[in-house]
Amino acid sequence: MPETRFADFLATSLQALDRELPQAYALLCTHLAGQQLAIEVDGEMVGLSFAGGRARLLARAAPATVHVVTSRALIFDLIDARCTLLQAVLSDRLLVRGAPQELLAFHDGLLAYLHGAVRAPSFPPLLRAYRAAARP
Amino acid sequence: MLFENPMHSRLSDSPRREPSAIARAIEMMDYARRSPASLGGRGGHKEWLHFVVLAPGVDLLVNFSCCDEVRPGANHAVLPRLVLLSRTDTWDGDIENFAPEDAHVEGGRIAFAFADNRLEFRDGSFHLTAALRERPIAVRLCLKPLTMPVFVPSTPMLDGPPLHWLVVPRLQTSGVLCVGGRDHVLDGAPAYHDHNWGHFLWGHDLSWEWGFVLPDDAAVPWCLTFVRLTDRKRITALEHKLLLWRGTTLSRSFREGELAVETALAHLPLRSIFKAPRPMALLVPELAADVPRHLETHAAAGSDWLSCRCEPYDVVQVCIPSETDLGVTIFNEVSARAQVRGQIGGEAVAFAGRSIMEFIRYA
Repeated sequence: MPETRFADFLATSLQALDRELPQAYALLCTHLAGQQLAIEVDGEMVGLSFAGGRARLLARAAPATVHVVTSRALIFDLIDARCTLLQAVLSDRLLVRGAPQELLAFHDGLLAYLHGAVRAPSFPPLLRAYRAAARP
Repeated sequence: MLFENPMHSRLSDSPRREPSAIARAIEMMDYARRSPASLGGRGGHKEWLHFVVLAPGVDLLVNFSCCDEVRPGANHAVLPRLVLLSRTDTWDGDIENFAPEDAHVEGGRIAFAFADNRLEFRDGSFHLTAALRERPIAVRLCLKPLTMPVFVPSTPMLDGPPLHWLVVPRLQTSGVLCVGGRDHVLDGAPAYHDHNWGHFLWGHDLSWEWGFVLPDDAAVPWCLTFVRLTDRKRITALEHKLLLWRGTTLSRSFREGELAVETALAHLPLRSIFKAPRPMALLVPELAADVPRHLETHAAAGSDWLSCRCEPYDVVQVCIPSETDLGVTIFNEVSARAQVRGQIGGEAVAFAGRSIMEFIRYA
């Protein structure tokens, strides 16, 4: 069953990261320790908190240290190298709001997640399912 | 025979060898070794067969590899992988992995099948067919070796057993590359091939600067390849070689103390770099490739000497997640113009040509 919601994709991918690349998962949680993220993808809001070396999806919105607003289209453009992170931010296709220190931690955490994503065997099928669900 | 080979007559100053002798040597030396892990042997085996075709306006790189899977959580023992990169107006291409059940590599032969992608040596030529799943690139090639292979065994490695290298520096191509629906006929284009195998991990204490030069003029009997393999910091050289062919045979090899390298202090400035596979551009978005504006190899032994100056003009990066840490191993595939001059056995050497070099770097 394709992951149709970003929240489902994110939850499944974090489980895969924890299982297959614990080193990347631990690094992600270390960089973002104590942070609460609010991520909005095409209007779908996802909360994510980091504490005790674990990432936890929040059932409801909570006060966030970093707010991210983007779209599935941009996520695929980034993965397919049609756009860089810098271009995405400068063109306002990726809105990121927070204190500088927390934004830096978010960037480091994102890179740790991506380093895990390019290594974890489960990610390619997971991404394929997410892409398939996004097609009209 | 799929095409006539006019170069054989022109390259025949050295002792003539019939194509079948070259073919026999390749069959005896260039076969797939395959990992011993499935038989209880050491894991971490890597093996690839690499091809480069240099046609007017076209650079083409094709690599069939079959490496032991070392990722935690992987369901399979081996990872068959195809690299197909082409430079026409711009670089394009991809790196594709295959499930082992969709791949077959015959040990003791040169016969690779990754889904519908094939590499086979038969009738004295390499026959290569490949098409990418998600990019509009396909290739069908017949690559006829024009030189004898040279086997360079047992290059020392700092973190494990030695690496082995077999090289056939000069082949002649017939076939077609199709990019975005446009056919590029490659008939007569010069090509290069090599084959590596060994046990190591990407991310080990390892770097190399490798390249070859094929002459612009098909009548020039010379061609060469060089390699400098070092530790990651590029302070200690583990192997340094320059191999020069005349006609079909190896004419001269220079090694370690007979070689010196000079590089420009300035780096090649680049406005963009195509990176494959594309998701890796998120992890290494930088445009600084640590590729010098020129690299000059000087060789001298007795009365023989050679100077090879390569001037890069473009770079494509193959970015592989390192296997020892959360870093990235970057293969800079560098397109360059080359000038070679020297004197070998009392004979002057002077030619211009095209070069592809490969610089391993880390991020």
